[in-house]
Amino acid sequence: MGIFKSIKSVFVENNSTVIDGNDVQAVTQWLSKRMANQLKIDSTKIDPSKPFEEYGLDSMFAVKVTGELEKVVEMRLSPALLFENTCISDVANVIAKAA
Amino acid sequence: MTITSIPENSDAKYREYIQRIDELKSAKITGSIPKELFKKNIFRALFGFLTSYALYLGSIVGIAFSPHWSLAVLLMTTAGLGGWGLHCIAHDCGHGSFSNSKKFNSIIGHISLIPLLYPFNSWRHVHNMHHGSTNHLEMDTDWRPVSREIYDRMPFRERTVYLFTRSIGFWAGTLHYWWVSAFHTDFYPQARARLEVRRSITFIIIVLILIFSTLWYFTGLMGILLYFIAPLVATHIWFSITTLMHHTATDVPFLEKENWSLNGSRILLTTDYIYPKWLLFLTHNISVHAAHHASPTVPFYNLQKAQKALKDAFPGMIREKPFKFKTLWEIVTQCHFYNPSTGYYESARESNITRSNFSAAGKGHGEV
Repeated sequence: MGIFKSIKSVFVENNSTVIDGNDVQAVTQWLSKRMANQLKIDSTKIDPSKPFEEYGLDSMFAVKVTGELEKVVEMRLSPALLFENTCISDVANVIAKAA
Repeated sequence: MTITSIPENSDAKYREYIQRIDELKSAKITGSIPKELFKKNIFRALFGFLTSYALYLGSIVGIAFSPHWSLAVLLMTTAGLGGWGLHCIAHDCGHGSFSNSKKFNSIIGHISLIPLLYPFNSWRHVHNMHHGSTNHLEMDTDWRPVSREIYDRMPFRERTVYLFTRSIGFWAGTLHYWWVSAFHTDFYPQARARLEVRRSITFIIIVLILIFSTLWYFTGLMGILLYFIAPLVATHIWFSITTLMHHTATDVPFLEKENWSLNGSRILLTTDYIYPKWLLFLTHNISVHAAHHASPTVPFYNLQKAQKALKDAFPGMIREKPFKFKTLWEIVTQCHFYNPSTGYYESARESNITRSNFSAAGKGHGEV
């Protein structure tokens, strides 16, 4: 089944959300929702200025989310983006600067 | 100067790199190349395309009728050279310097990459990433080194592939690159790019089925191996050697983002290798590489003149060396990991020493 999944992933578009990288608020919202989804909590409980490490997220998640975020803002992002910036707000501002 | 951080044990040459990169930040590099050198000549472009296809297919026919295995091996090398020449043609197509028609460039690009089974748009988009981040430690897509510290944390399979393709298995480096990037749409951030990549993948799959079924029917498994797989591997050997040597050397650094700049990467971090004339002709001047990075839309037949203009505009900044196997040997024996302490490469053996010093000394970066 794994091989069929891989073939499907080549031909089927998975990303349906596209956000302008300049839109700090929209990027912040997307990241908050994504984190909330991972932590299985409500997105309103995510504080964009709270350091990532306080949420107990691991490096695998950080790399995965950066990969997803690349497709949302349609920009190449450093794989170390979430390591080099402490919180969601910082990440959103860095992206807006580069957009 | 806008430098924020340089490696603690960097030498004078490294600091000179940083100085020059800073100086080049506002330079008009493309403007130093005369406008007439951007003019395309479709006849010269098509001549290059046909020459490479003739060399590729002619060598394969030669393999089929070869009276002795040693001649077949020699012909595989020339088939690889033909395949590599075709890749260089696709390279021009990808940069839009083959013809003025996007559609025609795409058609020729797709046909040229058949010997490599490389989906044209996968290669085009990933190659553009390389141009936008040449020798950038985080973002370059080609032959980007990792530090020993990162290497040690990589899974076993990744570590094995990494070290193999940077040492004795250097010839398979682009084969691995093809495997990880050509068929993975996730590699491309833009939805439009992913759509184009899917079309190219579909094209390559159809071609693959046609070629393999035809060869299987007429020549069996041995035919597939001799007339397609062997030339494909031979093409990758040319591909790997050339691309590895362009931006990797014991004295060419990969730069952290604080010190990297687009202009600097265009001309300072590339080595132009002087090939014999026949090889320059068959590889479509791919080794005249700094001029290509300075302005990727210069057609291959004008690159030597563009290189001269660049040398006049930026004296002493273009690295030019005669091609020697000794240099390749140096690269595959010494350029294994990024050394955060010096900013250059280090060998696996050196990294064992660096690793112990590094953990004792801390992070390895001095603020200046």
